[in-house]
Amino acid sequence: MGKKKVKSKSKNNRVKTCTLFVDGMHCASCEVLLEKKLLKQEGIQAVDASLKGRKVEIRYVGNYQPNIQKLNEEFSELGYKFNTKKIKRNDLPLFSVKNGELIINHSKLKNFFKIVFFFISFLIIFFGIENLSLGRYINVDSNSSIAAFFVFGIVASLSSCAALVGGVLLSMIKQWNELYIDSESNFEKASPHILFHSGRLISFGLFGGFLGLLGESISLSNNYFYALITILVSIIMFILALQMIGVEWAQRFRFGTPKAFSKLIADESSFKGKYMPFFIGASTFFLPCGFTLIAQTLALTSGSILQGSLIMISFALGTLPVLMGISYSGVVFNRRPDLTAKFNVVAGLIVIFFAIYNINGQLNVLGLPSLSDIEFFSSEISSNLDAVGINSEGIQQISIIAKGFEYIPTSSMTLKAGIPAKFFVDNQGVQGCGAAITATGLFDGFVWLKNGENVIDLGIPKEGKYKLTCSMGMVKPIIINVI
Amino acid sequence: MSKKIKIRVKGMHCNACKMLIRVELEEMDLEENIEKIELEANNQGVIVLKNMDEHDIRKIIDKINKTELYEVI
Repeated sequence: MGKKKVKSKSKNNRVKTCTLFVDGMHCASCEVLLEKKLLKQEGIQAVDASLKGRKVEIRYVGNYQPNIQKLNEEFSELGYKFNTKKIKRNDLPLFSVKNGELIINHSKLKNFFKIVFFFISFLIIFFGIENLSLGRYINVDSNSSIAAFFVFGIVASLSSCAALVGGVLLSMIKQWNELYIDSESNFEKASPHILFHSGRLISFGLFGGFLGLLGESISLSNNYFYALITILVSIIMFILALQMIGVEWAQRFRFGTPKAFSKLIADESSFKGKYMPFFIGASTFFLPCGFTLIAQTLALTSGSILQGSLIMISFALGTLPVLMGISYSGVVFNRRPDLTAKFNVVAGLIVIFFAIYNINGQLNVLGLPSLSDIEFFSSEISSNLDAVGINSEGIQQISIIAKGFEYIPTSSMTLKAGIPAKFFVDNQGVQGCGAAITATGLFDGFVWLKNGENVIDLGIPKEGKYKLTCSMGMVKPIIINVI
Repeated sequence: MSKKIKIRVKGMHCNACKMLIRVELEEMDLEENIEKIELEANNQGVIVLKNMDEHDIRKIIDKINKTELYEVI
């Protein structure tokens, strides 16, 4: 700590000093700990530890002679290694200028490229899988087999569920690793993950049964509610991700549990966030990933506790392999402290990407401006500005085909305000959240598309621009103009 | 009266913090009383001590706070 620790008594022997460099010092506690521990050695009179120089200056007397090997044996358990030579540590920033010359920290540059490589590889894999449109190979209804829901879960975990539930899981890994930082047991290190997945499976089983019990008496189509939950969770994910990549500003945010809730779910004496992963896992039932919403709706329409429960458990089991993969990578990297920092940065960037991806989607759902509106990213399909005609019954009709993971207009997407309108959707096998269509402001909530022709009554539309997209806002938005 | 006490400490974040707290308690001849020292989430830790007197508790809190690294909460 810069304050020299000195033993009170000293013999009149000549005092000698030596400097030892210490690998493994990483915080102010290390300074104090090293000073206190070294002072206990016979012969050492004073110790001054410096985190900045990662060194200790030792004043000693008598026959004592610092023995590096012996010190390393004694301090290895604490994670320190002594050396007489300075440990080469490259603390220069990635780029710096000295005497008008650009200095590149090649070691950091190499790490930077590694991180960029992993992140870009992830993006290629993610969008590659999304473009495969795996959902087209699996279509489920409430009478589908349990195996079909399992496969549906696998597809979900490779798509929007990866962005939401996978993102939540990934953003928690750093905190869970810190919780068991000093644990030797792999089981202990893995315990938050085991609790998370157990909580998820149990809640899906229980709530699935509950939905089956309720039958169709409730509706899961409040797009405002789901959009706000997703945006809130994504903002928390975003802040946790900033913490993972070491942004100082983000460290001030702590997402603790209210004390009263902690007391409810666990005995205070044994509670150290231990059981929280279980409840986080359980709460993922309420995260509105598009596929989860479909499974939940089918559990509702099954009208049976057992069927509803089995649908949701099978679905959750299907998502398990990918989510377990995320957990496994977190635990493995926790065993390798040299890789933990890199893992946190890559995982943090992925979570930031997921958070932005989710928020952008929900802005589409709410009909608000989003990244999808920027021409470069734009997936909006330009619509004919001529309003559709009015049929003999005095009704305007617009139509699209819903297929794969897109909505394809088959008429002009412009309506006249004040004249009754109907919206025809020909579902030719739309997948994932595409089956839940929404256009906030134009019609209420989500409309679940059945196969074949669907007719949505738009009533008497008011002037405005409305975004037509899926429940997750991930299907390329189409703008419906009401003029 | 002897009793078990639990002290929650802000600022504990790593194994060195755990060890340092242990050293501080050992310096007070309390090693026999340490039941456990554990890290918690959110940069916190917990110390559980058994057979403690009220008088000692005050001294422990003062000693921990004096480190300027940690704060008893």
